[in-house]
Amino acid sequence: MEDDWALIVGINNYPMAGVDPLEGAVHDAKEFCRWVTDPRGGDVPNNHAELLTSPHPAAPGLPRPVFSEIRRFFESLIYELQNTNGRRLYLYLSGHGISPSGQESVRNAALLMANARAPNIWDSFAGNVWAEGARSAALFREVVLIMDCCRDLQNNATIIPHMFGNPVDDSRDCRLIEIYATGWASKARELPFPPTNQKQGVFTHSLLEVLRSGQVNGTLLKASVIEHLSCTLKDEKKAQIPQLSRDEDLASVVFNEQSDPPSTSVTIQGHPASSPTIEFWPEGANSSMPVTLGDWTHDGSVWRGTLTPGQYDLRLPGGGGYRLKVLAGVQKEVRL
Amino acid sequence: MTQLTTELIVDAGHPAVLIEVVDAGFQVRARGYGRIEKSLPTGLYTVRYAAADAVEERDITLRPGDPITLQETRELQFASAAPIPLTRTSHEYQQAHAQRLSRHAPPLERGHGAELFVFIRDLDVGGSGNLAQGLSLHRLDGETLLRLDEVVETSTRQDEALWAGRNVVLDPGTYRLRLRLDLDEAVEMAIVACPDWQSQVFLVRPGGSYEVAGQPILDLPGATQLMARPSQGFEPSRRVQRGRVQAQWASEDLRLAELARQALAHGWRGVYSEDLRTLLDSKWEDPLLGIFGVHLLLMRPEPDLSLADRVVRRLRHTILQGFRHPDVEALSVEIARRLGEPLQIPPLEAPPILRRSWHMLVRATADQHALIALESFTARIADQLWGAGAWLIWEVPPEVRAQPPAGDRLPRSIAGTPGVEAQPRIEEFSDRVIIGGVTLFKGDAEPEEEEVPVPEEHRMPASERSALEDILNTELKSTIARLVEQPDVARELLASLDFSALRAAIVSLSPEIARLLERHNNMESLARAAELDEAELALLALLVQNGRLPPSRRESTTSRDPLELATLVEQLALPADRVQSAMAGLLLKLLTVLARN
Repeated sequence: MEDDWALIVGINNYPMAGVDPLEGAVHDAKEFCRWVTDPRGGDVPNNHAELLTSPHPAAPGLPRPVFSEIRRFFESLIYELQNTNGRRLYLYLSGHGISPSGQESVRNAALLMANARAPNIWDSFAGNVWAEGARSAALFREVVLIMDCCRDLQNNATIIPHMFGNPVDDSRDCRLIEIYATGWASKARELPFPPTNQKQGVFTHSLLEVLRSGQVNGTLLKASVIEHLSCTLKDEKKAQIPQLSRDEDLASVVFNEQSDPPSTSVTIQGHPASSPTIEFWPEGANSSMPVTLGDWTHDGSVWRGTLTPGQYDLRLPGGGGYRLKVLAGVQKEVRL
Repeated sequence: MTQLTTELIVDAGHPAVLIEVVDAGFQVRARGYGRIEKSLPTGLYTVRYAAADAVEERDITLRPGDPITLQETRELQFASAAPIPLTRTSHEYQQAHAQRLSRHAPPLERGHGAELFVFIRDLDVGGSGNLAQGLSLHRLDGETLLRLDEVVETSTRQDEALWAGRNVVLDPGTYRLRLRLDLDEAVEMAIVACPDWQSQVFLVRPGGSYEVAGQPILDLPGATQLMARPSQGFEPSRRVQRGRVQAQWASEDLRLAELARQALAHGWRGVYSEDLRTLLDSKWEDPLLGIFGVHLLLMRPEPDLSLADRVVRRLRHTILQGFRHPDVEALSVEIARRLGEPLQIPPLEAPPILRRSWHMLVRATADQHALIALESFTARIADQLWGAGAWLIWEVPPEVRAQPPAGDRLPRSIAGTPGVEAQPRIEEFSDRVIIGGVTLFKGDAEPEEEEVPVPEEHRMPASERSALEDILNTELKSTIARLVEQPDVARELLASLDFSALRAAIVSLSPEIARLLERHNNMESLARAAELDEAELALLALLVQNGRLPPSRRESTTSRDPLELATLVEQLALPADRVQSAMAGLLLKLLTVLARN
C-alpha cells in the first residue's frame, strides 16, 4: 500500500554485551522484510521499508545497527509524511531483548542494540514506547509492532523516549497491534528448521508460516500463530507463550489484503465412509450446508484436501459428528 | 436476507470465570464473567471458559428456534502459589503443613498485635537448597527484622516437593518483603500487617525460565496474598465452596480471592456484575477480598461509586477498626476523585500492596502533593517499579542521599529565603526578577543587603562565564545561570521553587535547550552529557514533544495542557513531588551543561 512503511531490525552479534550471539535474528529480519515488501504480503513499497541487520557472519569494526540508525529512519519518515498520516507502520525487531525496569516496566520491551555494553550501557530500542508514540501522535492509523526478542530482566537500561510529539485527539481512531514472541521476563527461543537447518526464531517461523498462508484478519492470525507455535514446540520441555493484542483490537486489522483467503491442508484418518461429509453453517442461516470436496483425495486410509479457515462439522456415519477447527497456515490432522 | 438469531445463556457457576463465545471465524462475539445472556446469529460456536491460566472449551451449534442454556459448574484447575484445593498446583501434604504452621506451630515473636505467615514451595519433587534463600523481612526504614532462611521450618522428606514456612507475630504496620536476586540486586513487595489479622504470603519456585544467572528464583509477581483471623490461619478445606459462590460464603472462598488477584494482574474487568454486587454487599470480612472487589468494581465501565464508597467505609471502620491500610486509602481517594469530591488525607508513608492502588495514589498527588512526600520511602520507589502482575514490586532503591548542608550564605545575587508558600509565578522588574518568591537580581544590579562573596572554588572561570553569558542572552536567563556557580545552593533553591515557577523557568530557557539539542545531535547524547536520570530524560522528551523545543513539527491537537502538573503526573507515572524534583533536576543539569558549553 502506498502509505505503508516498515522498519525491520535483526541483530545476531553483540560483541560488547557479554551475551551469546544469536544465529537466526538476521535471517528472520530478512525473511520478514521479504514478506512485508511482497505485493501479495505486506505490500509495503520497497523504498518505504528499511532493513537494518548486523553483519552476518560477524565482521570486524564498529557493531551495528545502533540506535542512531533507527532515529534516522524515523526522522526521514517524519520528513516524508510531512503533516499527513501514514496508513500502517510495521516495526519488526529481532535480537536479544530486555524488559527495562522503571515506571512502566510491565509493558516495556526493548531490543538491545548491537553496541550494548556490559555491565551498564544497555543501548536499546523500546519498541512498545515508540510504537505507542507513533500511534498516539496519529502518525499512522495502524501500528503493528512485532518483537521476537527475549524479555529478560535488566537494570540500568534507560528508555529513550520517542520523538513523535504529544498525543493528539485524532489518535482515538488509530490502533496499535502488539505482537510479542514471549511474555514479560521470559525468553524467546530459536531452533533449526528444515530443510536447511537454518536457525530461526520459533515465533517468527510460526508467524511467517501463518502470514504466508493468505489473507487473514488479526484474530485469525492470533489463533493460528498460537496454535502453530504450540505444535512447533510440542516436544520441547519449556513452553513459549506469545502475547498478542486483545481480540477487539485485532479484529479489524487485515493482513495480506491482495491475497486470497488461506487454503489449509486437512487430513482425516480412519473415516469409515466412502467419502466424508463436512458441513459449515453460514452465519444466521436456517441450516448447515455441505462443503464441496471436489479436490479431496483418498489413498486407501487417509482423506486429504483443503478447507478455508473456520469451524466445520464432520458428520460421522451412524450419527454424531466431530467439530473441525481449521486455522491459517496450520495443517489440520484428524484421527478418528 | 434476514439473519436468524437464537438466545444463548451461559452460566459458569463461578463469578470469576471468564466466558467467551467464539464464532466460526474465530471472532469473539460475547464475553463476560460468571454468566452471559446473548442473542446471536445461528451458526457454529465455541464457548470458552477461562479462570486464570486454565481454559476449557465446549462446541455448540445455535439452531433457529432452539435456545441453548449452559448451566454447568466449571472447576477449572488453574495455577496458584497457595496450595488451594481444586488448583492445578496443589499438593495435599503442602496444604496440611501450611495449615499447621499458620495456626498451631509456635510463632516467632517480633512484635505484637498482627501476624505474617510466609509459605514457600516447589511444585515438583527433586528440588534442592533452601527455598527461603535470599528472602528477608524489613521495616519500612529498611531495618532487617528477620532472614526467612534462618527461621523457616522446612520439609525433610525426599518424596515431597520442597516446602518451607513460618508464622511471625509483628506490630501492626507495613513491612518490606525482600527477595535478593544477586549480590547487587533485590526486589521488594509491601506486606501490610493489620491488627488482629494474619497476612499470608505464598510463593512458589517455578524454575523454568524464571531464573537469574541460571538459578531458579521465587516468583514474586506470582505471589498469593490472603488474610485470615490468627485463630483461623490457612484453612484450605473448610473454605472452598464448590459451585456458585453464595454471598454468605464469599469471604471464605480462597479461590475467589486468588482469581480476583489474577484478574487484576491481567487487567480483566472483574466478575459478573450481580455477583460482584452481592459479594460486596454481603457479610464478608476478609479485607483483601474487599480491596480486590472494589478494584474490580472500579474497573467496570460505569461503576456503582456509592457501593464502592460503602464498601471502603466498611473496610476502614468496621473491618480494619480505623487501621490505615494504604490500599484502602488509595481506593478512598480514587472514589472521591471520581465523585468530584477530592479527599484530603494525611500523607502516606507506606506504599500499597497493589499496583493499581499505586496508580491511584500517584494520580491523586496532582491535587495533593503531600500525599506522597518527596523524601518518603513511597516516593523513593516511584521510578524503581519492577515486574508484571497485580502486586506493587520495586527494586530496592538506593539509600537516601545525604542532603547538602543548608547554605548559611547565599550567593550574592540572591536575597531572601524561599518559603514553603512560594508564589507560583515569575514577576519581572527592571532590576530583578522574582521566581516563586525568590528574588534574583539582574545583571549589575546589586541587592541592598551585604554582599556575600562567592567562594573561589565555586567560581566559574571567566572564559566559561563569558561563553555562558553569550548563550544566555536575556537578563532572566543570565540571572538564573549564575546559580550554576554554586550547585549545592542552586539545587536547594530550585528544590524550593514550586511547579509553576520551575515550569516557567524551563520553558523560558527553551531556545537555549534547543540549541543544546542541535549541538548534541539528539536527546540521548544530551542526556548522557547532562547525566539526566530516567525521569529527567522523560521530561525533556515531553518538552520536545509538545513543541516547546524542536524537532517536533506536529501540532498538538489535544485539549489538555501537556505541561500541566496533572498531565505530567499521568504521563510520567510519578508522584507530583517527584515530577517537580525531576523538573528542578533537569533545569539544574541543563544549566550546568550550558555553562560547560
